[in-house]
Amino acid sequence: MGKTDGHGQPEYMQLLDPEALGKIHRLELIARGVVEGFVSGRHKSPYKGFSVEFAEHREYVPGDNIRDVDWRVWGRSDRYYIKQYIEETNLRALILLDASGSMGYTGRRSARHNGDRLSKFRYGQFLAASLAHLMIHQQDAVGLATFDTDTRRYIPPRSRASHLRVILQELAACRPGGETSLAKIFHDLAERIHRRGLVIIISDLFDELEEILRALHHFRYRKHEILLLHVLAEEELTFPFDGWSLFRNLERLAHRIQLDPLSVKSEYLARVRRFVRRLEIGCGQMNVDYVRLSTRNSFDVALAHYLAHRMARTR
Amino acid sequence: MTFLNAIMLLGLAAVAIPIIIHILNRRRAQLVDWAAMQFLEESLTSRSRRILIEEILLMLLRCLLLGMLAFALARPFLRTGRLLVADTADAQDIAIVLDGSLSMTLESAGASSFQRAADEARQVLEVCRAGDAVSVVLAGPTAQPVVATPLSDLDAVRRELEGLRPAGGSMDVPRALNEAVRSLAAGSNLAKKIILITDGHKIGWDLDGRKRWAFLAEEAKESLPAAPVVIVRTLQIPKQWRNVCVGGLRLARAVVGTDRPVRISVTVANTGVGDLEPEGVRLAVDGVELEARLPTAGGQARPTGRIAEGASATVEFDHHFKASGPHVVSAAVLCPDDLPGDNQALHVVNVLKRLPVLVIAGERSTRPLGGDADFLQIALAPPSEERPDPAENLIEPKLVVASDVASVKDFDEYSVVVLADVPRLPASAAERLARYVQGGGGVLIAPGQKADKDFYSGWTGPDGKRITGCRLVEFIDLPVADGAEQRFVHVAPNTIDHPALKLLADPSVSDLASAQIKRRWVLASDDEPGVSVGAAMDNAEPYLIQRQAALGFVLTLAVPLDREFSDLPVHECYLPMVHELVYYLAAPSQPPMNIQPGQQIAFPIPGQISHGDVAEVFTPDGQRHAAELRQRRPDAHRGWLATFSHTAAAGLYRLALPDKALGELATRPAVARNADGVGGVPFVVPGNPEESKLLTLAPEDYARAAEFVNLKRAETLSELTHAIKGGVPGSEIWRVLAVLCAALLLAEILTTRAIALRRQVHLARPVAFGTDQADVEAFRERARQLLQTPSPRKEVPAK
Repeated sequence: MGKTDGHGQPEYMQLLDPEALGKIHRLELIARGVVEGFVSGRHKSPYKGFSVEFAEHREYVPGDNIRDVDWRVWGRSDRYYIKQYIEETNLRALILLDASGSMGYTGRRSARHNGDRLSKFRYGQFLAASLAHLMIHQQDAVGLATFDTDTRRYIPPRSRASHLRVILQELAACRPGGETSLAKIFHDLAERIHRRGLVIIISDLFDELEEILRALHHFRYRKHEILLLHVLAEEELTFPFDGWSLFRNLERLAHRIQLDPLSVKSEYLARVRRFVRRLEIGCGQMNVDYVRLSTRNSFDVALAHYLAHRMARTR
Repeated sequence: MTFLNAIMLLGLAAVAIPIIIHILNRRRAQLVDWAAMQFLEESLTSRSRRILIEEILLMLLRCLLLGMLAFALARPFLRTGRLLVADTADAQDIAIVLDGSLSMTLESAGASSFQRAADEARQVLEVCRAGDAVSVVLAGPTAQPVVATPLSDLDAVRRELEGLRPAGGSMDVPRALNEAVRSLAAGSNLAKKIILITDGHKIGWDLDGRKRWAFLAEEAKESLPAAPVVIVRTLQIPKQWRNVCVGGLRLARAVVGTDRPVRISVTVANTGVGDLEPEGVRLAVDGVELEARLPTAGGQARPTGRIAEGASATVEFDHHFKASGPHVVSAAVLCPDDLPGDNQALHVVNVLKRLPVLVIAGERSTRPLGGDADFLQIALAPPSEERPDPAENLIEPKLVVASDVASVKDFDEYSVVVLADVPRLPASAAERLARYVQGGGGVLIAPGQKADKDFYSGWTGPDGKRITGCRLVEFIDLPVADGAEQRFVHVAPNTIDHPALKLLADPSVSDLASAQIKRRWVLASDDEPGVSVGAAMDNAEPYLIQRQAALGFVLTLAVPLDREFSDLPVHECYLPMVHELVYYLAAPSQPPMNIQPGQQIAFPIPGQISHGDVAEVFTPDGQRHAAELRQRRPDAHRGWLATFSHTAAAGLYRLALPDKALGELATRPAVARNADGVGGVPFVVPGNPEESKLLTLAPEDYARAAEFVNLKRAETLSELTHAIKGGVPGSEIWRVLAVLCAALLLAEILTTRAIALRRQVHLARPVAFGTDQADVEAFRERARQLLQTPSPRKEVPAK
């Protein structure tokens, strides 16, 4: 076991915010496209008719398929329950969390968690943990890859409940640092993952845009569905500085730029805007689900919003 | 440039403030750990050059603004001249000396230099403070105190300036400054200033007369509490100006009689810039124009021809004065020019009817032409066809022998006394003759073989000096050698320096050089002031020695004027030579009618004077002044003198006397009163021909004058008025600088605004991000992309 906090709870468990989990409790991450699974249930599987093992009941929520209602339970208790199976789906999701130095940026306007401002990386940690928890909870297989210039750790997707702990431990142990080489990592992973699945990328994407887009295209080429969670800090979007400042590169500390921020503010914002727009267009063209996340907004709200939106679109 | 609040110049250090702030800003730059370096780097790369230019421009503007502000607060003062005189809060006495010379009548831009000088004098009065007292001196050949003592009533001084006219002639600067010092001495204020407003004409400064300047300095030192500041304001004179002047009006003889014509020479000089051709010269006697021998188409003026710049031409007239008494001769050059005041010259000729000459001969001879002065007597009053009556001759000789000299009661009845081969004179006669010379009489001595050299060498006047100015060393009688050519001596024409013999100096027209001198006295001239050798013989011995004794002259010849000593009496030159010598000697006995500026007019009254009679003088400016009447000598019985001393201005003066005092002169055209009642005996104070040349003072000339007086130069009126006030001419420029500051401030604001606009700081919207925000632009862009690009599915490359 890892470290514990003051309440005797393992440190990695902090990544699972009960409040956040409560908000996404009724939501399921449903693959929008075709995934390679066995269960004809929540996910459309190319392998239809494959039997599954019953696992547990879950209370019916509006939107669940009426065919999945366990009518016997309804007969006994007059309540609607859905039968859930161990291998309900064969959705394999891989969460790619950018752990480069740039992700370590903590803005003054970021959302707080337990009184602390969230860095982009911390924000990504919470996002990854929540998504992993959600998917494990749905019996989906989820894996994790952390990287900077190289893949730091790769945890293959598993759907066991205990796998969540492995992922959370890895997330908790990971620290941001080093430079970024997104395209290279993405290309590597695209080659590495053979089964089609969902690739969730959590990153600020501070790298060569065209390279990134080509790498994303590589994933798409491999029939992976991509959920791109673009995490940026509020300061990176507003550039609120007005006095002479010495900007130190978080990825290369020796790299510094001294300037009057006002002199480049508009230019900077225009470039960021162009970057984001280009990214969005590129994602749209590749049918990549692109989600902008500002650390100013609480990650759970953003996540819940996204999931609700995704479900609404899927159904 | 000076600064009235120089301490504020320290504020120029504020120029460094923007630079320091910039440096501090950079040093205090806040450290920001930053992730999105790629965008920052790209932004900076694309704008770094522009940012640098903008920053430099802004910093420059701000530095300039602060510097300009400090500069303006220091109250810079732009001088337009020099500090001439330190400021003084005390009241001061100011003597304004106005150059009233002829050159000040030079006109330029519609006003004469004198008018401009008077205007500037009024400007000086304008800047005078309460308590300042001003005197005015009109400086001409003499200094005329217009406001003699400094007056605090400046209006009174202004009134005096109103009617002021140039005195003419040349300005006598030391005299004018002396007068100014005298007037300042009468003032009660401690601070003293003399302001000389002049055209800078060099004539009259007399810079070589160092004694006069030293005297001026001494007088200023003694009579004033402190040496006065002499501020010389030099007026600008035009560079191009035309001027011809009558440079001279001379008569060939000093004594003019009614017996024969006299030649009148008029010299016309071109003193301006460029050649000129006057229309001619017009000569008038008592207002009646002379008939010219060579009439010209334009009238009766005598042509001069074209006169080059700096050159002169002489026009000669011959005129026979028919009536005795004074005549006014005026010569005018007909040429419009910039200095008309010198286009006319005046001369008064006192024409004599008779010139009594006393000839004292050594002894009388019974033989014809055997006497010592026979030839001389004939030469003095030669009979001619024109004047068969010897009484018509001007010269009226009277012969007495030396032994009868006691019979001559009064030598003063004669204009000239000739001692022809007189051995010696009785002591009383010698003494009376000496006094006669002192009083203006002329004596011609021609000692012969019998002359007592001890008498002549020892004959002294009241001043104890030799009357003759020379010693008779020895008498040389050339031996007559048989068969051998006698070695005569001759007068050497090239040695002739005496005015009376100048006519005979030219061998081409004179046979003086051919006259053979057989016997002669060897003369040794005294080394005394007033003694000069007028001519010499070809053996270098003196022929003529002149001695000026007080008012009169004594001429001593080495050779008597008799046939016995030389053959001169049979030469043509004998007669003119004798006449010229007599005229020359007679001249001092004539009352001077042409006097120098400041010289006293002294006219012996020919008629009767009664108690209560008055004499007055009409000055050239039309003023009427009283003249003084006094007896010629306190112990004499010989009549009265009318005197007048205020003869500063050049021009024609008229001494008006009762008719009975003038006698027959009263009827002469030149003396008779005109319709306005103006008339009288004419006198002329001539102008200085040099005044027409406009030689201006050089800086070294001022420096020479400054050796004696505290002399400052004011180049402009502004400098002059500031010299009175004690300030520096110029103006503060803080207003201009304030406007510049405002302009710089505005430029700074506009530049800042322009830079902000260019940087689009106000338009810099944050990038729309997050789940709950819609980036409109991004949406539009995406929509456009979707519409233009094929289906995303088609984009996915087929495996």
